[in-house]
Amino acid sequence: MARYGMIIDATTCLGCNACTVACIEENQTAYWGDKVRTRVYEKEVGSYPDTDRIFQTQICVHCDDPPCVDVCPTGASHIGPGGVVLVDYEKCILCGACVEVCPYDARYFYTPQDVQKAREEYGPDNEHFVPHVDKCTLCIHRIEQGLEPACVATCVGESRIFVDWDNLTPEQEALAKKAVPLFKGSDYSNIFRGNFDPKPKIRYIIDKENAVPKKKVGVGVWLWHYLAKPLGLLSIAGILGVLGLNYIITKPQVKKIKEQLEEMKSEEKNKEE
Amino acid sequence: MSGKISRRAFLKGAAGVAVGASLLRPSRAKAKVTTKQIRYVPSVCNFCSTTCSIMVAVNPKGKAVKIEGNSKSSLNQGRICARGQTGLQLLYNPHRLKYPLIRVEGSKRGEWKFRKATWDEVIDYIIKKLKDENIQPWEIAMPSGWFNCVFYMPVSLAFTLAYGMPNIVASPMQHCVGSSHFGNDLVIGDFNIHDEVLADYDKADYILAALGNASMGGISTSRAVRFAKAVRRGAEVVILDPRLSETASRATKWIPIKPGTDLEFFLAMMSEMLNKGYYNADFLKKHTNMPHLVFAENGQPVMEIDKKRNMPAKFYVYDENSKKIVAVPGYTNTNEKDITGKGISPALEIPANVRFRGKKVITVFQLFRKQLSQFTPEWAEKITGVSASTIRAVAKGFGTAKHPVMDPGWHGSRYRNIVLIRRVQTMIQALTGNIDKEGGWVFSGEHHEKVANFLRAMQKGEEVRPGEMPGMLFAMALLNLYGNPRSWKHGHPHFSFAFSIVNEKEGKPAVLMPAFADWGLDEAVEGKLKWLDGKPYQIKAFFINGNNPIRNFYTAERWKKFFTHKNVKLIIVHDVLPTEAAAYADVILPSTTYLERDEPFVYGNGPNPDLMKTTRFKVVEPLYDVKSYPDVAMMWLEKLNLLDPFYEWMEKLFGLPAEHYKKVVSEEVRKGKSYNDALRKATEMLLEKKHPGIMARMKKDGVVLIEKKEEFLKKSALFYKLPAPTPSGRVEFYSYMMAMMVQQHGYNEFIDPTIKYIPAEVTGKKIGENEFYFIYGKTPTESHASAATLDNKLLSFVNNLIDPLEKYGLWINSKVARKLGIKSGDLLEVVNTKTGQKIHIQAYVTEKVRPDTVFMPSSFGSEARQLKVAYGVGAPLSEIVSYGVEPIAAGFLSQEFTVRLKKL
Repeated sequence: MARYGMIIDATTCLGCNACTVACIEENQTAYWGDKVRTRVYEKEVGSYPDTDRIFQTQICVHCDDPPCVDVCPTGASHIGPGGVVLVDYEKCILCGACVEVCPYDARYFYTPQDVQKAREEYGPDNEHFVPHVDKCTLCIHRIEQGLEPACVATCVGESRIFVDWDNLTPEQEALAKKAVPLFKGSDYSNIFRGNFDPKPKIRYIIDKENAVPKKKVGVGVWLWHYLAKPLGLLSIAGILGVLGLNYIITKPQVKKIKEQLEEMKSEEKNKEE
Repeated sequence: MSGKISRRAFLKGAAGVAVGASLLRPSRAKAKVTTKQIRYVPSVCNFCSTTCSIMVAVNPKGKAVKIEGNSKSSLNQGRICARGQTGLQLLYNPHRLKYPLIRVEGSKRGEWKFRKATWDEVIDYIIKKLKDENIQPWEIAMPSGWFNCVFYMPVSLAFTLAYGMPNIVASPMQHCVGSSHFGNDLVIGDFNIHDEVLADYDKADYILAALGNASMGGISTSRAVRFAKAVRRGAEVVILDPRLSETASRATKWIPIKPGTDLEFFLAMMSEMLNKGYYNADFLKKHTNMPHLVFAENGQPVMEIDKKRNMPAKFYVYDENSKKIVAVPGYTNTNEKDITGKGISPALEIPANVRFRGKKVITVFQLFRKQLSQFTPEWAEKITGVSASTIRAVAKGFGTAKHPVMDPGWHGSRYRNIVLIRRVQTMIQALTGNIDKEGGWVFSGEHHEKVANFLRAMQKGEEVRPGEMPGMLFAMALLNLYGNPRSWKHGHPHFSFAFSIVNEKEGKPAVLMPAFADWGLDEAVEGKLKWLDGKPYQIKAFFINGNNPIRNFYTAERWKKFFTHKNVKLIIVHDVLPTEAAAYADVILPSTTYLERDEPFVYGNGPNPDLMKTTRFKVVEPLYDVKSYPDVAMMWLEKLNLLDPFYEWMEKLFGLPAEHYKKVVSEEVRKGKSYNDALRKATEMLLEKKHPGIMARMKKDGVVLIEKKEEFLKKSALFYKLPAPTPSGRVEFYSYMMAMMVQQHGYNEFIDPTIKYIPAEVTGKKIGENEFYFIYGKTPTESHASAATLDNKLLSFVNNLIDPLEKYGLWINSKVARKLGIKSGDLLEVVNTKTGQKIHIQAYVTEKVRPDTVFMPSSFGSEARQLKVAYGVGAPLSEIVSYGVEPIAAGFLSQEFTVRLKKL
């Protein structure tokens, strides 16, 4: 069994965002709404002349124990081949539980408006044919063809290294020793007294302080950590209750866009005939 | 574990109850399945002159869907930067020029009032206008983009020579290739550092760079991938830059040097290296002119010249074995044998009383050490603000490293002493012997190939065509064509040379080698340039070819003045996007993008040290009624009945057989093919005859490997094994090329063949209150002022993602900003203290820049209204930088001024 992931060597990241653009082009993400699956932020630290620029890579870290999968009411969020955390677009009801619970800020809504826009931008054959929650798939479709994820393949600084944790090369082994899970020693572990470990498969090599982005601890994370995780069943009703609202709001739009899509498809078919 | 699974199972169940049936489930497979039907077409990236190899994914409907780096090419190793990734944004940009346009009669240039036209119509319009206004070929100037050199060289040269149009104004010449690269070229004989040298950064253990971010963090992918490997390996990286660039942020040591004082740093560093013995004495003795003798009294070289070939015939060295002065051959790679072939041991330092023809002589090495002795680290400390101990440490670190690499540099004429700065940097690299060697500067496979062919032909006594000459010889051959009045039937050389010739005659300041420059254009447009025949040498028309001089050149105001001048009767623009310059056109000839064409020739893989051949393959059919440069050039020539001389020049310069090209092209064109495609067909036929199957391999892999770098370095490393295209074949510390220039033009300190210290104009200038040094530079998401990267939704997204102010604003140090009451986002008026030029730009308050300096990203400030994404974002460099050129190659003095700020 493979356990796919990445080592991100923050020390060689040049902050060029070739990865960001490669991912947008490969996965047709909703960048017009500032929504992408991965990006590199930048932070300035220190004061002149002891200044430094920190490049922070944000991406889904593909937890072995992912909170997003735990809270998904429909099974849309699931662990796919190679341990990759995926969303089944057709099962997703846009309730948003996963978006709220993700400690890595790695998910966003591909809204009905975005689907519309994607059609203009990428053509009617675009990948995002229904509204859904979108996230990094580690380009599993490329991995299955023997390719590296798009961001890794083009990373100019070779900062992103695609790995199979169960099958590291000797070179990767050396890097893996230096790599740590995101948020280690940062806010999260303090708040959760070191208990917080969803076992991410994307790990970072950091020689500079704060080389990873931080996210404020949201309600969802608390709910998941203190209710859903330990208590299981009990919390589900609560989370669904809170987030069902989201579903009710988006449902008519989802329906509309799907109908439009069907219409367009049949029109095209007619044209071809 | 099992607990979790059951919880998930339950969740699924619950969901089924809650929402299950209510959702429509389109019964179609995931869209990604279609990736299997994707086909890949190889091409070459066009976003900068690194020329990365790419593979473009095309879906079954024929739409290009993704660009990938081509991993078959060892140049960019399968990777491309953010700019290269967004090539499809250019191809599918809705603001593209889609069909030929003619300016509406009665409208003014710049108003953007055009009517749709056909190709026949526009070509006829041009020919008629040229005739009606009696515009002679030399009265047309062609501001031209870099790719017209790199990919279309034979077309560019044959077109202009056949037509009699010497006035190519090439966009990278004054910015970098002509000026800053010339410094490197003088020492090691290459012509263009972009194409001909790629340092082995990945194997380096010490990297030192100055004067910009472009080559590594900026990004040139071929360099950046190698640089990052060095960073991971823990190499020492020292970056001189007044601001903390991306490159500097990855350094082990960032030295925020005072702007304009790089020369002083490097002089002190070189002086220290010579004093402390941080050099490779064996290499200097054998493969450089360090042991060559010069007269002690005046520093003139002891040499004999072959007057017939105008080449050095003999140099003299002091043989340590025989303790005698002996002659060594004029052109060779080594001083190990005298002219009779006897083994000798040339000395770097010789006894004080050695005389030649009665006069005291010393070695070049001794001369340089003496000259440099005044440039102590303490001296440099006062000027550069870098401590003497730091300079000593860098000299030691670099000079004693196993694989030291000085970044050869990209872009940046910047200061009047730029040629000398780059020359000294190259000398420092050469002191270590780390040239054309694993882990050092390595010449490209193409350069190696050309040198080897050239030497072979020389030995056989065969003639070498100008276009096939290597390095500096090619550059000199071109200058002799375009800069020499006798090369043209009409007696008019390029107007910059004409301006120099006239100025020199009148005792006015002249630029010695204004290669494809814009120097003198003001005079030529205004009719003030009086040529030797007593008549004005006038520029009456512009053919703007893949270039936007309003933003690519300085100053914007100056170019707008040309374009609206009453003497300028015709402006033709051939481009992809409606740039500022296009707005001033009378006729617009829309161009294909690089993804919509096969190109006529097969060329090398940029600076790749492996010799690989490549070309572009058409990824998609042209989306609109657009044509390529060869189509435009040849349709134009056809109307004037000048296609025959066109083919003849291709043969004369590049050995492309005229008869073959003429025959194939006319057949293909008769069949309805375009000139561009017909040329390609002719090229393919020739290649296939020589190397059957090569085009199929290229179409599959994008590149065809001819020979590996390791083979070259083993067999034909320049200097170590073969002579290079310098006048002496060796590394030239004492510049024989400059000595020739002195002979030709008389002495001035800029062309001193030794080292004559010339500070930058801004150095030593008193900086007043609220006055700042001005620097600019490159960011990873933009090509220099290129509309292709500016009018680009994805790159614009990335710029905004990080911090729009950092990307578009004026960087100012936070301490100073506080004093002046400036906050990030405040609108500032920036005034050039030399000329009063003004721009408005938002402030970006940061700790990443020196307190006495402001930094501006180089590319923004588009005012092309048709470019909806680019329009109005940031401020234009070409409106704050003042016009001025250095005296060797008319390099732009783009940082030789200071600015004052005012909060608005």
